[in-house]
Order: sequence, then C-alpha cells, then structure tokens
Amino acid sequence: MSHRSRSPARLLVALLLVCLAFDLIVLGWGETPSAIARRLFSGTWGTPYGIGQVLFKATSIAIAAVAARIALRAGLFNIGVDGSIAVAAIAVGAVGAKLPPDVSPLVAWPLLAIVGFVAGGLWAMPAAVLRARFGAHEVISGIMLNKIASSFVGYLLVRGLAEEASVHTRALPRGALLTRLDHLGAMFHGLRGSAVNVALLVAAVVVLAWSFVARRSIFGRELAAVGASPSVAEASGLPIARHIILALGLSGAVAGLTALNDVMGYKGYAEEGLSAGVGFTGLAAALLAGESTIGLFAAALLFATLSQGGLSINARIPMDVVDVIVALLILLVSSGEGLSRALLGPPAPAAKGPTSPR
Amino acid sequence: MSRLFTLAFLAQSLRIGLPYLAAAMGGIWSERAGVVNVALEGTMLVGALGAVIGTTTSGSPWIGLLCALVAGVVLQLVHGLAVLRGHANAIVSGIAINLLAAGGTRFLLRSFYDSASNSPSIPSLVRRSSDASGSALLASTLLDPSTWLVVTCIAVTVFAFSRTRFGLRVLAVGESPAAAENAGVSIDRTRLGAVVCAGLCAGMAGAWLAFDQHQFSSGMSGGRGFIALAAVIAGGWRPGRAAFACLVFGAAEAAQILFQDQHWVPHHLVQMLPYVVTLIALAGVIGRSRPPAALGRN
Amino acid sequence: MKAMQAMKAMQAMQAMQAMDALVELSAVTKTFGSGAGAVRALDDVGLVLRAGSVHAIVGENGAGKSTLLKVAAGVVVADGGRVDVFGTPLVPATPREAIRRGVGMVHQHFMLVPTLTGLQNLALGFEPTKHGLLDFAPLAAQVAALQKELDLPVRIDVPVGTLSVGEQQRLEILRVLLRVAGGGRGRVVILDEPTAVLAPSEAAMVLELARRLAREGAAVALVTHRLDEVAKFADEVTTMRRGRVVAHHPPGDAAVRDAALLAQEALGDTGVSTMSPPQAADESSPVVFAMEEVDAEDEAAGRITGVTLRVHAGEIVGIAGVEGNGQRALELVAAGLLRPSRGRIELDGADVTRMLVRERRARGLAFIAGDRHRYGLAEELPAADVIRLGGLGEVSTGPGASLVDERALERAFTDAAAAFDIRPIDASLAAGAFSGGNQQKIVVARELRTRRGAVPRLVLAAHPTRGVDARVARMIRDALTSVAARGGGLLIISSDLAELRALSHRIVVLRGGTVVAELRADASDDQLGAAMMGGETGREAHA
Repeated sequence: MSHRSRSPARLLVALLLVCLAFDLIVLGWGETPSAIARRLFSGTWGTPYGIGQVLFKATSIAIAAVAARIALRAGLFNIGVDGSIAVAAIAVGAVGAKLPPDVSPLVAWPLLAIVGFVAGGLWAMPAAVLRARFGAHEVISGIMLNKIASSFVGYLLVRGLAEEASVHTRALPRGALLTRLDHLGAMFHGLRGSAVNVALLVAAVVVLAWSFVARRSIFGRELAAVGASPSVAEASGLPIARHIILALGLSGAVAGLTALNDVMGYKGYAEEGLSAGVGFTGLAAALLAGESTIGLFAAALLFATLSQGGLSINARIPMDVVDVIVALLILLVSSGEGLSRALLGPPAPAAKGPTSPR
Repeated sequence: MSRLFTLAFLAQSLRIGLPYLAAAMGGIWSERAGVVNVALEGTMLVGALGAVIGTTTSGSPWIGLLCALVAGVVLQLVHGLAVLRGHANAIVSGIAINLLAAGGTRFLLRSFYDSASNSPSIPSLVRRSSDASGSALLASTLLDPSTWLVVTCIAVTVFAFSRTRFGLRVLAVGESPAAAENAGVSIDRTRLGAVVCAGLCAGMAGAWLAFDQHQFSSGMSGGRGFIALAAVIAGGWRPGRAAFACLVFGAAEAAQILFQDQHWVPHHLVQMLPYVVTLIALAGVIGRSRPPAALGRN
Repeated sequence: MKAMQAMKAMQAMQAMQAMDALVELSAVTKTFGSGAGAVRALDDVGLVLRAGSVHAIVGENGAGKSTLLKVAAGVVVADGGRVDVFGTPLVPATPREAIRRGVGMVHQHFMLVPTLTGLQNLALGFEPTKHGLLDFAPLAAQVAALQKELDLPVRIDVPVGTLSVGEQQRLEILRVLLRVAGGGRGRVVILDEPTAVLAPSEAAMVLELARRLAREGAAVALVTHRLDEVAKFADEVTTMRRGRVVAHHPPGDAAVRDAALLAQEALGDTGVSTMSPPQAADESSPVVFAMEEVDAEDEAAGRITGVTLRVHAGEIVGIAGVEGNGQRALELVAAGLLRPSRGRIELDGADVTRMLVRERRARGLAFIAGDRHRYGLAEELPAADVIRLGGLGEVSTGPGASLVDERALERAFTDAAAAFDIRPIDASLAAGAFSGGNQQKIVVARELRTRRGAVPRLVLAAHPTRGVDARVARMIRDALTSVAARGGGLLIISSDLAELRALSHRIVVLRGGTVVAELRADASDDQLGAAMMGGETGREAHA
C-alpha cells in the first residue's frame, strides 16, 4: 500500500543528512569521523564475531519491531513493549528453571515460547483495556506499565525467584537452551563467541508471518481500517474495542518472544534489566521502516549495527552519539515529506504524511 | 499510617509535586493549542542538564535557570517545527525528541564532566537548611524561589488564557483552527508560541529537579514528563485541575518514599505506587474529560 | 431586441463599474487537487461587486459559487486571474488583508470557536487590548450599539456552542460588520448561503439586513439556492454552472425577477423539479424500524427528546427540519453511535436499544452517514477495502475464511464502479484520491449492496446527495428508491426539502429535538414551513 511507504530518495537524503550530523558531532568531540566510522565498522561487520553480535541484537530488535508494527497498524503506539519483554523474560526464566534437567528441546522450546508469548501479551492487557474502554492514551499507560514491570520483576526476584545470593533466576536446563549458530556446522564456526542463536530464524519467521497477516488476512486489513480512522471503522461495524485489545495484546505477546533470544539463547537465565530498551529500539525501527518488510529487516540490522558499534567506539567517543543519530533519523524521516514540500514545492497528491497513523 | 498526616509529608508531597506542576503547565500550553506533547519528558531532561551546565560554567544558579529555559524552548521548537512544518506525527516526533534528549544529555554529560552517570554537585538558588524536621522542610520548600517560580508558571498560565490576546488565540487554534484562521489568526505561529511556552515550563521543571537534587544524573526525569501529561489529561486540560492532579501524584510519590523504609511492605511494590495511581487516574477515576477539539490534527 | 437590451445593460454595467466597483474579479481560475481527483472549480470567471447592490450568485451544488467568493475574501488563493479590491490587487491574498481592505465574508459553515463566548469570538484576531491585556469593554459597547442599530439579537456572553444556528449566523454578520466598517469607504459583505439553515422568519431577517446594508452603500454578495429569495431581494444576478459564469443579469434586467428563467440557466435540465412524489406505501406491512420515546444528547450532535417514529417495510420516511434541530443526534442514535438516555429502539422486530453499530448492521442496518469524513470512508485506505469496509468477510478465502480473496474484492469494486459510474475504476487508488462525488458513490454502493441476496432491512441515510452533482444525485436517489421497492425501509435525513418531498412517503419534522409534525409527501410548503419553524406559517414569514 502506498500511503505508508517510504520514498527511497527521501530516505537517502535523510541518511546523508544524518551522516553529516554524525561527522559534525564527531568533529566537535575532537575525533576524525573516518577513524570512528572505521572503528564502528570493524567492531561490527569487520569480524565474524562482530557479525554474530549484530545478528544477535538484530534478532530481538526485529521481534520488538514487529510487536510495535502490530500496534501501529491499528494506529497505536505500544510504548509498553519493554514492559512486556521484561515480564516475559522473567516468566520464561522462572518456568524454564522448573523444567526437569533432562527435558527435551522438543518440549521445552515450544513450551517456553508459549510462556513468553502469553506473559508478554498479558502484560499489555491493562494498557489495551484502558485504551479500548476508557480511551486512556496508550503511550502514557505504556510508560507507566514499563515502570511497574521493572519494579514487579525486581519484586519477583527478591521474593524467591532468584537463585540464592544472586539477582537472577536459576539456570535453565540444557534442553531449554536454544542452539547457538556456531554449533550448527563448520560454516558458522567463525561466529564463535557471539550470542547469535536459532532465535534469529524465529525472528525472520515472525517478521514474514506478520507481513502476511497484515496484508492478506481479514484481521490485518481490519486493523488498518481501525488505524486509518477509528470513527469510520466503528460506523462501518468493525469491533474496534476488540481490535484495539487484540492489537495491543498481540503486540505484547510477540514482544514476549524476545525472551527466546535473550533468556534461552544468550544468558540461560532471567535477570532484571535484561534486554532493557530493546522495545524502544524496535519501535524506532518500525517507525523508520514504514510498512515495508525488507525495510524492517534493514532497520533492525541498522539499529543492531549502531548498538553493537556504539560499544566499539565508546572508548573514543560516547556511544550515546548513536541514540542522537537514531533520533535525528526518525525526526528527519517522519517530517521529511513536509519539509521537502516546504522547501521544494508540492509533492505527488495521493501520498499522505510519511509516518503512520494520525 | 499517621505519618501520612504530618508536615513532613505535606512538604514532601509539595516538593515532589512542583516539577510535575511546571511540566503539566507546559503540557497544557501545547495541547490546548492542539499539539500533542509527549516530548515533555525529554524537555525536562535537557532543562535539568541545562541548569547544571549553566550553573557550573557561570557559577550562578540563576544563569543555570536561564540555560534550562533556553534548552527547553529549543527542544520544544524542534518538536513544534517537526509537527507543524514537517507534518510529522506528533507522537513519533515526541518519541524521537525524548530519545534525542536521553542520548544527547548523556553525551554532553561525558563531554562536560567525563562521567556516564552524574554531574558534580551544584548549589541551589538559595541555600537550604540542613534541618530535617517537617516544619523546616516545609518552610524551606515554601521559601525556595524556585517554588515560587513554579507557582508563577501556574498563575501566568491561568491569567494568560483568560486575559491575554495570545492565550485567547491559543484556545481558539486548539479548538477550531479553521475558525481561528478565518478570523485572521495564524495557526502555525500561535502553535509555535504555545510550544515555546511549553518549553519554558518543562525546562523550568527540569531545572527544579536539578536544583532539588543538586546535580544532573542520567535519565533523571524518570518518566515525570509522562506523569505530568497524565495529570494534564486527568485534569481535563484545565490548569487548576491539572495542578490538583499533580499534587495527588506528588503525594503518591511522597507516600512511596515514606513507605520505602517500612519493612511491612515490600519496597518493590511501594515503588510502583505513583505509576499505579497514574494508571488509575488515566482510567478516568478523577473525571473523564473532553480534549481540545483539534488536538493532534494538523 | 435582445441584443439591444444586452447592449444597454453592457453600457450601464461599464458605467457602474467605473464608479462603484468595490471588488472586481477577472479571469479567475482555480483547480483543487491534481491527477485523477482534480476538480476545476473555477474556469475563467469574472465578477464585479458594486456599492449599493445586492448581487446574487446562483447555481447548483459544486458550480463554484462559494469558491469564487472565497477568492474575493482572500480565503482561497486563485491559480490565475486578477482580484482587485477598491482598484488595487489583493496582495497578499489572505482573509486578514481582505478584511483590512473592507471585504468580509460570512461562511456557509460558521467559522466560530464553539467553546469561546460570542464576545471572545468577535474579538478573535483583532483583539482590543489595554496595557497589553485584553480589554473587551469598548468592543462590547460597539457591539451593543450595532445590535441596537440593526436590530440583531444575539447573546454574546455565553459560549457560542450553546447558541441557536440563527444566533450564530447573526454573530457572524455582526463580526463582519465590525471588521469591515472602518474608514467609511463603503464595505463589501459576502453572505454564503445565509438562509440554507434558517427558519423562514430568521431568513427574512437576514435578507432584509442585506438590503439595508446595500442601501447604505455596501456591496453585498449573496450566494443562494433559493431563487424566490433572488427574485425578491437581489439587484443583479450572476449564474454559474460547472465552474463557469453562464449568465450575468445587471440591475434593471427583467431576468433578475424571473425565478423560472434563472432556474433554467442554473440547473440546465437536471433540476429536482422533475422528480415526482412516490406512491403511498403499504402501511400494513411490518415495521422494520421503530423509535419509542427516545431521549439522547451529545455535545457535538445536539439533542433529541421523546422521539417516536416508525418505518415500515418498503416505506421511505423523510426527516425534515431546520438544521441543528436534533437531526444529527437522531442520525447517531439510529445508527448506534450515540446511546439514548431513555426510550427504546427496534430494528426488524428486535430490541436494539443497547446494541452497537456492528450488532445493528448484523440485523440489516445500512448507514450512509451525513459526515462522510468522520463516519463514511477512511481516505487513506484503498478503494477496494472501502467498498467492503466492515464486510471483508463477504470476500473471504483460505483456512477458516481468514484471508481476503483479493480477486473477489476487486470484482466487488469494479461491479460497484459499473453500477454507480465510479471513476476512475482503480481499486488500488486511495479512497481520498477520488473526487467528493465519487467518494459518496463509493459509500452508497457499499451500503446499498445486497448481502447474500438480501437487501438491507433499514437504510439510514443522512444528506445522501449533499455535495454531488445533479446526475449523481439522481443516481443515488434511484438506488434508494429501489431498496424500498424491494422491501427495505428507509429513513432519510435531509435539508433538501425538494429531495425529501420527491423521495418520501411520509415526512417527519423535527424542531428543538422533538417530532412536531408528521406530514404526507404532498403537504404544502406552507405546512412544512410552519412545522419547521413553529407557530407562524412560512408565507407569513416571507412577507
């Protein structure tokens, strides 16, 4: 569909402008941009380990981006993805730790995936119901639920979920851990040491599955109608309260799948603050990608690269420059059409604002 | 429970509620003009850092306050321009602004103070007594000029809407932009003006936090901008009611601090209190209300 | 003979132009939108507004009358042509500049801020201040004086949203007069369909005022549909059709007083007068829709009190009334978008009082909303999705019928496009890219479709032909009548009395939110007018 697509030319201009801003910041800090860029590259795509880490981070970001995108389709901003992620991680950690030591992956993997899915979805329910029944703004309730989630997770850990004298749950049994990609065969050996695991495939499937559901299913198309105009959707007989609850619930549930990557694929246990902020990055990626599937993969890889690359440049320049860059990119892309219209004259008529719902 | 009804508790509620009050006035300016403003959070953050940088470089907290206001206005202008000129979705722009503020302040913290977490300590506008008794706390809060600056924020806001040309125009463009434009009022200019007021108020709120804690620490706004926005909504976009909601939230947070060292309630659960109260308020317990008719349409 | 007349008229016109032309538009063009949805609203149009003259601009919906005058008032910027005010070009072309030069416009849709008081609205944009603060006292005195002079009763100390439509309009007129009165140079007052929403007595008040202003030296432009008003109050007439001026009758031209001739010029051969009232419906057929003693209130939509009405199968019931007398509330209550505070609503024999739109639709409700942007069609969705909005289940496929059958959906659109002549025939085009008339056709086609061979039990249609041209209007009316012929009931809310009369078996009149009369379609204008305005009859009001 055309109305939420991104013009490649405008994206390119935005990227160039952001690179310029990056250069200026780096120069202002007293470093040479090319040296920092080289460092950023070598820390990510320069080595097999770096690539593995980027893919590992992209896994969670892509899942969180799909979560954000599900809500965005209905015109909702699910800021509460981070809360769902936190609660799902602790749920998966707690249930996983209770599994028998010799549990088969065939049982453990789907079971824990369902646990994460359900826990993430349940945590999104208050915001969903508040929005659907009382019209409470999901951005504010989402932030509140994120705060509550982090206290809640801390509470659960203190009250018995944590292993003695530690701040994390007991370790998951072997059968509940997801296979690291470097164990899969000789061609992946280079990735050794990085945390990238088969959750990467789950993420790819999740992205593609939602793209299909959004575009081809009646549910996906009805969500788009709700997102385009809730009042029109209601007058047309669509159950908008139900769709809002389903969209936010499904969004939180999908977000819960990040536990596969972080708990089952990486740490092997759950702890406070695990994968904090991924929900936000996912939302940023979803906003950048618009409705494009390839765009979503690209945005997830871009943000994963920036996040991993931030670590490698941190010794020379604060990694926070990455957040600034991402923020500028979103601002430029979302206001790009209006700005280019103001500067260059009127655009094609049918195109609406480049960002999702109003 | 009796500790809830002490001067110390009152003072604490007021002290915590004040930055909410200032930020909420900012939210009212912006949203009454029709510009959705989730960027209050980031604006508070840059206000706080502005106050600290201004104070440490000049030595005067008053210069620091000025820097906070300027920083707040600049950030809100970015938001306003992105929304009004760039036609960006106001929530997307607000989210980006918050991220910009979070990353940017951490970056500047490293540049200025070579620290990832906090700045060196700064003096307040006036020296506070170290007496920790309730009456002393209340007195020092009441005597603090920044308290009165916040009170001025509210008074000016209320006054402006009823007695000034600009206030009248803000109400008009937020309610019926077409009618306002037809009457010869420039929608964009009025909204930008309102967003500048939002920047002043939220920058002020940030400065308050910085002076209260005598430093800047990374992410110190801690969701207060969103809570202030919740107060605006719960207060029906009216200054008086929003101020009342802010004080309720302040009391919830004061109660949280009070209960924190009590052993009979788990402190993690107590931590949730202000956020739970905010959620309940959002659900309409305080009173459902009608937003400005043109809020979020541009 | 005719040539002589024209020549004389021409000379007279030139003479007047030289003297008294306060506003002069020449060769003005304006196109809205571009590409497929582009509409040429004005095509090389000229107009002169003279001091001392009431100049009526007539023509059917969409002829470009309002746009033309908005260009004169600086509200719309023309693509080409000249706009001169008092002999100099209107630069910049803004409402503010036009007002400064003495040109004010009262819009068809009132430009008032409902939450502000009348006085605040009058002040807005040109606020009087003292020491930098608002000072309403001198303005209030000025308003009081003007009100007394012109006998224009309006409450200016309460929020405008609480005023009646007539009061709001008088407030608008007061504002224009306050704004453009300066300098004593004469002034230009543009009234865009000032009487469309007024009761006859209030309409007469406005028109008398227009005459009086002209007598005192103002140039008055009057856009109207009502040719009887033109014949009675106008000095000169310009007729427009499809963005062009088709005739101009200067002062003294006999045609100004000839309503029949003007109608022919304005409407061509597609006038509503060709419609004939339908046969009476069979009242013994079952009741498909009933409201019993229904109360409802909404801040924006207004209020209805104790409304009781019935629609039988195969019957068309029209709702008439001066706009703002509860029609909106009635529409929303009947649709299920506004919950009644009292009373009972039945649809096809079942109690649907507490049911939402969705549940009512499942029982056979079809709803053509009066506010198309708010309730009718989502502009950013592709037309294919809009043609089955809320009904994608009818074109489902795949496991559990959960997927959209794209080919069936596209066929649904092309079928609708063929039946209603929707253009362009492009199912993937965003609905907002279609012209207004085509958007309305899309909505009508969706709502009047047969579902599994069944026609809707009740069609609720508010202003179904508003803003569409005569040909499309006829198409829509035919579609509505055919639903009744096939056994569906229709409830039609319209401000177009001719349309209601042509379509309805019965006309229910709303006033002040209550049903004040129920008339047969062949009731006289006087009867209808009397019911709509209450007490006095329409003829008395016009006199």
